[in-house]
Amino acid sequence: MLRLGIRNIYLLLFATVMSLSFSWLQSDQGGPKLDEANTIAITKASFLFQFARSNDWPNDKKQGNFRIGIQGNTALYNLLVEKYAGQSIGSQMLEVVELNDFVLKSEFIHVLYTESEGEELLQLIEYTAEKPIMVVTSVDSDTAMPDGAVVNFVVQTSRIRYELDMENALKRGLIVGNRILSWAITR
Amino acid sequence: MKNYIGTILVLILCVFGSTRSYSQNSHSDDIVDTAIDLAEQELFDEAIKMIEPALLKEAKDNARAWYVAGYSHKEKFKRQVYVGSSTSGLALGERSKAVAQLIKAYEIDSKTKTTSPTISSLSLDALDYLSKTYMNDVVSGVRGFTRGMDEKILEYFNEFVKIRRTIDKNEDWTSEEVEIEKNLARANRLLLENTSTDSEELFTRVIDHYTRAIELDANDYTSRYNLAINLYNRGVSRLKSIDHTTAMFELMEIQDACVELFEKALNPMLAAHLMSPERKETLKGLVTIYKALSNEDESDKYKRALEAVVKADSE
Repeated sequence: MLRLGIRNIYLLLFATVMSLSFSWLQSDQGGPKLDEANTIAITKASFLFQFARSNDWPNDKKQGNFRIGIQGNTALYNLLVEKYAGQSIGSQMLEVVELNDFVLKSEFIHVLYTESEGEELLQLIEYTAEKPIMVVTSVDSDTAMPDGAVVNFVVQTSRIRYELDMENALKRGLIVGNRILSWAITR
Repeated sequence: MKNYIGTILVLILCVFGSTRSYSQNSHSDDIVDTAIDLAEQELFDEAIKMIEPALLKEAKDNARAWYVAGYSHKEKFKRQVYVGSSTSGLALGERSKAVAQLIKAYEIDSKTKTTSPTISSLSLDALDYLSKTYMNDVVSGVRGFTRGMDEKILEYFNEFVKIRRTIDKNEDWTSEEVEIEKNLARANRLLLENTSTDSEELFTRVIDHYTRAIELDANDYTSRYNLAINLYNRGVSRLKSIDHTTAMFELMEIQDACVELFEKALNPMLAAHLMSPERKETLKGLVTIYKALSNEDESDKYKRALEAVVKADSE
């Protein structure tokens, strides 16, 4: 009888401990949280920095700050500021600016990224024509590279790649680096 | 209380032993009786020294002999736990011997049916206790997880299952195994997040544990969702590692690796979505993964679905 009583207590304890153990295991606290960083913006920012670093501008543009201007993509602007602002491009300090008409007219921009399309883009290209500005566009993959742009981001097999218009680069007095040239794609 | 229970068990064995016919294995029974006496005096080393050689010869089919040996090892294990931990080398050795011998005692006794069912019952009680200690080790192993403990924890769990199946072969511990795999995945992920240097090994372990959990239970939503998130986040983390020191070719390589991870994340996230189509986390995951893969059409499709769910929730 005593033994049975002890056994029952023991079994009850066992069941309680097991149940507590399992409930702890099953609580699934602290699961992973989706990282909501803008991956496209990170990739584009990395490319823009590479463009700044690996190309060459005329000597008179190698003074003051080296500017990357961003039009129409605040997330990209913020990422560039956060990660690359203050880095050196040759002897120049990298400055990232969010582009508007005033900035465009008052400051020289070395690399100009725009998400404009249509008339707005045409105007921008016209304004910057024959200036040593690397105009980088990002139009739909179905659309041809805009005339006057030097670089255009395209999506190829889920990857962000870029195409390059060497003729435009030369017209603008830009010397495209070998690394940039070798990774450019053609469509 | 423990000593009291032990004494009761030993006394039961003594009474039981005294009623046996001495025409069979009387020498073996003498040894067993002496071992019982020793165990009763808590001289477990001596009891083991007496009984174990006989287990290889004359007492090899004697359930009582196996039980006394197993019981003695179990008590030695308890002593080790008292002075150290259940996972010290000595404790582990004692426990594993105890389990093997108690299972043997139970098997012999339940096959022969020539002795009282007491041996079976006592063996199962002892095994019950030992199984609990294995599960406790699993839980404390997960709680205090340190790098590389995965195999050990799974080993404890396998031992636990082995014992439980001896006690009742119909018990199913699959859902618990799934939870353990998920907990191990999480423990490795937390280590990975808190380590200053990147570790592909930890990441691989996270993925392997979730993959195993899915193999065990194809309908487990959390495993699939968490697997997808871990794969996706790994890709993002790689992208974030790009900085001003990254060369152009490295940027291309990293991007390739990221896209591969994003693609791998897609299937488990889609599977999780199929299991629970209205779940916002999964819809958000799909919006994000497709966006990272530059598939705006699909991303927009799930974004609209997410907005519809959110709207329905608020109405």
